Amino acid sequence: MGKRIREEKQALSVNQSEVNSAEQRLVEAAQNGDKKAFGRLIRRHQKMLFRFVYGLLGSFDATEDIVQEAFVKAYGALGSFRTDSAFYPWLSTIARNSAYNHISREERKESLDRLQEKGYDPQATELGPLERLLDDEAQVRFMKAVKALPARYRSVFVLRHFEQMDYGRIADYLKIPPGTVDSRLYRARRMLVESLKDLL
Amino acid sequence: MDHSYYRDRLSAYFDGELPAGEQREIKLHLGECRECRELLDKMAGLDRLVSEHGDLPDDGYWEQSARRIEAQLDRDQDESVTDTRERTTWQGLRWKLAAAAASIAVLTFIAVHRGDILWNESQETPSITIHSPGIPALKPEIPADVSPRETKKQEGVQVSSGGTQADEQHDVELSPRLHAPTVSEPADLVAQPETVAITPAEWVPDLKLTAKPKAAATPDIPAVENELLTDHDYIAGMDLPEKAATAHDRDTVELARWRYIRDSLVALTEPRQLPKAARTVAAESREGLDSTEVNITMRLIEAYCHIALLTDDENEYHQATDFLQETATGRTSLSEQAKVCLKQLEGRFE
Repeated sequence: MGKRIREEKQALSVNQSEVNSAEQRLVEAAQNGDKKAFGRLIRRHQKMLFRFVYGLLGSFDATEDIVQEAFVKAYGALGSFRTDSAFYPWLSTIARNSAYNHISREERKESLDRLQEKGYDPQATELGPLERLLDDEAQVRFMKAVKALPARYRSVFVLRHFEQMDYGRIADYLKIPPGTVDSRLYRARRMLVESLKDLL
Repeated sequence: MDHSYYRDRLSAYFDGELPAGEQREIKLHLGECRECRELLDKMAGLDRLVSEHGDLPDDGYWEQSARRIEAQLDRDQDESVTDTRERTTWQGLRWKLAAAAASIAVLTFIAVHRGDILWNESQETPSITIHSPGIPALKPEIPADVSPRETKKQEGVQVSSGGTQADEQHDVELSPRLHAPTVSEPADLVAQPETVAITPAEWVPDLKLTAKPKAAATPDIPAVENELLTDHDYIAGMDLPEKAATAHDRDTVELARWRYIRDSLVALTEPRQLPKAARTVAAESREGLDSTEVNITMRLIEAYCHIALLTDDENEYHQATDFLQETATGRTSLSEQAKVCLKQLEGRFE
């Protein structure tokens, strides 16, 4: 019952104040023009941001562009960032805004009729350059299975599992009713369970 | 209720997102439905799979990616500066055009009203007094060939001060024209305007800072990116200038910074001699940043070189030069850098 997510959240909260304090110092230094401090913020968060954006978009090239754009925008807007709040949620919101139009376009293009014609086929899915970064076959299969999900299901799955958002936040984020979050997440999970059953 | 009613809610049940009543209903159903239990187990398995395989591994790609983003930031900044310069250039041009137009108007006016202007110049010109602390009252000598009009202009500038000749030697900021050998002090020409008294004690500290000899030049050693330090180390390093700022001495700040970097790097090279916490930091730095012995040595040369240039502690100096000499005599590609540094240190503490 979401036990693992809750455990992870608890474990994260233990060292949260220490992490926040260190991060706050880096953000303050970056606000004062210390580029190396901002470089450290990039290195701290880029992987998580990449995974999040890639999960939403399913395109390596588009993800690279949006992650870069998000950091550039964040750097430009650092002056308006309040250091008493967490940096990553602010950064991911910037990335989300950049990715949002992309997602909308993708979802519009992908009608359910077309999905039925195409079918859900993770094995036929190409990961592109991302595949080189992955450790083992299980990870490749998992990422292919996620990428092959219809965009409307994938975005809900990624927000829930990669960003640990609750249904209410996902609904706000994607501007859909909470009931739709529930049904899309259920379908995403069913598809993934079916595709990855030998790994579960 | 229909089995599909419960099955379709399993996902929300798993996430704890159902109202309490529905959570209880599903729980009861799970006790009697094997199919739903199996599906719930698979959802839990999927959750584990995300934890095990959802994270992207460490790879050189991320460092490349970070550098790409940093390069983009630099390009954006350069473009922003260029834009500003272009705007400034155009704005400057507009001002120049306006100034040229104004000059033409003034010259035209002078040409037309030349007689009136010459008459006005023969009237008394108000004098301008410059108060300069610590410098004897001086009056520029007026050369014989200076025209009456120029004389009036020079008489308008009077310099007064209550200082001594000794004070004058400390002066590094005040205009050198005041010390020119052609200047004399005819008593009848020295003006006695009201001056605000500034004692030497009030301004000498400033002069000390200004007149301080410059520190030895920093050696031309390529800087290594500060990648070998963890975020924690970096933040601790950021505090050093603040702590050393009380000394009002940039060299002290620099020296503290290089000592800090040296100690962090030495900690990386000698993990066995360190307490557990420091060993962890060292191990994390090595693993996370894929640093090499060469990078650490290169950075150590840089640190020791700066320390040897800045320190007043002879033991610390010799510790640094010992390291540099040892590296210089080696056959690695870094020996040249150590030699360059040793050359710059020639003569210190001898």
